[in-house]
Amino acid sequence: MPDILSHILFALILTKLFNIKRKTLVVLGAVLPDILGKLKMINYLTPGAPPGIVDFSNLFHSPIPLFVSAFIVALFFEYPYLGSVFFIFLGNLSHLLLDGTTKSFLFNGYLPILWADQFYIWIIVLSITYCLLTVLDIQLIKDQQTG
Amino acid sequence: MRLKRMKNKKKSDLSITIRIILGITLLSLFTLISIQNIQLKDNQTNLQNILDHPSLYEGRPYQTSGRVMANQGSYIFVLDSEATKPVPVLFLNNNLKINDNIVVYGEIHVDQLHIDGTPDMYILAEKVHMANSEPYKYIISGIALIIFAFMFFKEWSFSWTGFQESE
Repeated sequence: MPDILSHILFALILTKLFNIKRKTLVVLGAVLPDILGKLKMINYLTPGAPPGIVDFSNLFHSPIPLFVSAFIVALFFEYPYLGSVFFIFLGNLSHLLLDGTTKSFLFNGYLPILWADQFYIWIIVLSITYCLLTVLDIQLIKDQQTG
Repeated sequence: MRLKRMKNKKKSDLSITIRIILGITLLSLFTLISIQNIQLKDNQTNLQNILDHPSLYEGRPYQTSGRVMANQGSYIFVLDSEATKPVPVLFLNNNLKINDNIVVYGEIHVDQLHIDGTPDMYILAEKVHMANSEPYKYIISGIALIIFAFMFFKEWSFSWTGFQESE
């Protein structure tokens, strides 16, 4: 699976493409599945207990639990509630989309692009894309100002 | 002036069209990936269950990934984060070293490997992918979280009633 930096870059690209002003809510949604998945570390606090009573990693890499978690996380923001839920869930979906491009021997799926350890390729491609979009944005603003 | 207005309108229409097409494309990709993940989960089961009850899973294909803890010639032992003990993998003619990170695909076999005769399982490796840059992912992710925290607290300030937009 891609690293967190790739998820952040992909979320930022989406905010640029769809002209979303509250970028950090989308980026928060994009990093939440991996952060919430690390709740499985709780298992290590109880040595001897059966591991993985709840598989937090898989739980927070499914759309419905993420949708529910978006409603909970949005409560902590003083921002139009449904707007917050929408942006956070958009970030969640971007995370799942990028994770879905991970190759696996088990399944010759629809979009296997890169192995999990080839995360650096995602960083390079997404960084270049983000820089290009930023340059395009600057150019558009300049055109509007002169036009 | 009129020509410039027409040009700007065309650019704006094009921008909206591109966004709609992109949105539909992303939604379609997401749907495809969701179907793929449902099918993938049907084929995969919890590793700890397999290690505890290997006879139930004999003959099934399985994929595991992790660090090589020991190499005893044809048998290597891979520590997957989902299990409490390393997974034995039969991988003939391997050149693997201890601490190599790999992804292994193969069939689950059950054999009596213990002195007391208790059955144990091993995976007969068919495909292996080297994944030695995997650990660096965690370092990059740590740095990314710091960058995200910086971005986040630039836009939001903490108060007891919740995060408020920074002015």
